[in-house]
Amino acid sequence: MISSPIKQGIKYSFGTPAIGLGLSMFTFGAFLKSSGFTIWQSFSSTFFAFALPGQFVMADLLIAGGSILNIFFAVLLTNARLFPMTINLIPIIQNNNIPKWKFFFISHLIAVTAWINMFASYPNVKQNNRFEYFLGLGGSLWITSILFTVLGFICSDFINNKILLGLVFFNPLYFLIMTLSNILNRKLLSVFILSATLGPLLNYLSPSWGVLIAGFISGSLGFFYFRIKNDR
Amino acid sequence: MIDNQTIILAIIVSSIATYLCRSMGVIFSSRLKIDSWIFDWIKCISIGIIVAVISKIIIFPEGILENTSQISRFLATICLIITYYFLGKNILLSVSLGTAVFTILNYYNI
Repeated sequence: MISSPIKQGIKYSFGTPAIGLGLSMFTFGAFLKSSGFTIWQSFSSTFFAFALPGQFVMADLLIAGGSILNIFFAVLLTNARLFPMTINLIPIIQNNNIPKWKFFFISHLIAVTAWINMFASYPNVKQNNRFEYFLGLGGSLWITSILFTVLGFICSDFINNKILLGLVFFNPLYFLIMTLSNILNRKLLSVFILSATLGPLLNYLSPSWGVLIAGFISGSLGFFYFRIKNDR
Repeated sequence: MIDNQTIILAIIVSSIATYLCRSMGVIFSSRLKIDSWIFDWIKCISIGIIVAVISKIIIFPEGILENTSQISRFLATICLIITYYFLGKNILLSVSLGTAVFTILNYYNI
């Protein structure tokens, strides 16, 4: 029997979050087929290494002939954003009745779509129910991603490449609008503007570290500026 | 064609790299309180990184989006923001329209 908070989380993920992630995973599945992956390898990629930007980096580097060590570090850098995101999300779903090891399992479901949607909806969920709620929300997004990767792999021969290419842009646009809709104060707005400016600039100077450095600098500047200003 | 063994190894190492970021996050979060300033600071950094990732995808994309035109990505983003704020903040509608603009522009190589 599925408990009510889990159902609530599943229900929240259905609709735009699942469509956005699903379409991108669909394109990813089609991309893997054209890159020579088998259906099981495509399935395993989303099942075990669930985080789309890192999955794309892995496939791109494989095609480009990158070494295994090269792939490891490139994926680690690409997915390093999951580190602060996890630090941020765990205290929200923290519950003394839940053993610590379960948080190591549920962390596998933390990705941008689940994170943004959890932050948008958690104030309406009771603290004791949040772990199960996130299990429903993140779990259904993870399963949707796996299904759509496989579906994209199977359907890739029947869909025009240019339309497939269009579908992959749905997700960044969705991330952008979800992030904008979560900007509720001037502090976050300043982080948004700073990062949108610094991100491409630093990426141009250092493609590997640019995104992380831009995020760290803009997040810290925005936070400390308003902290000092409010203390006065 | 890439050989099977290399693909499997690549999936294994990328799974380890991805999980490492998450598990370290769980370890470091153990003493963090929702109402502490560090929590708020890390939230600002997380949002900063997500925005930097999105702006990188729009301005300097890698992989399959590299073959799309800069103008199509810009126009789709502008369409997204305008429709979101002028059509009642409907997320699905604005993202679908943005994607449609992007797909049509690239379909006709604009």
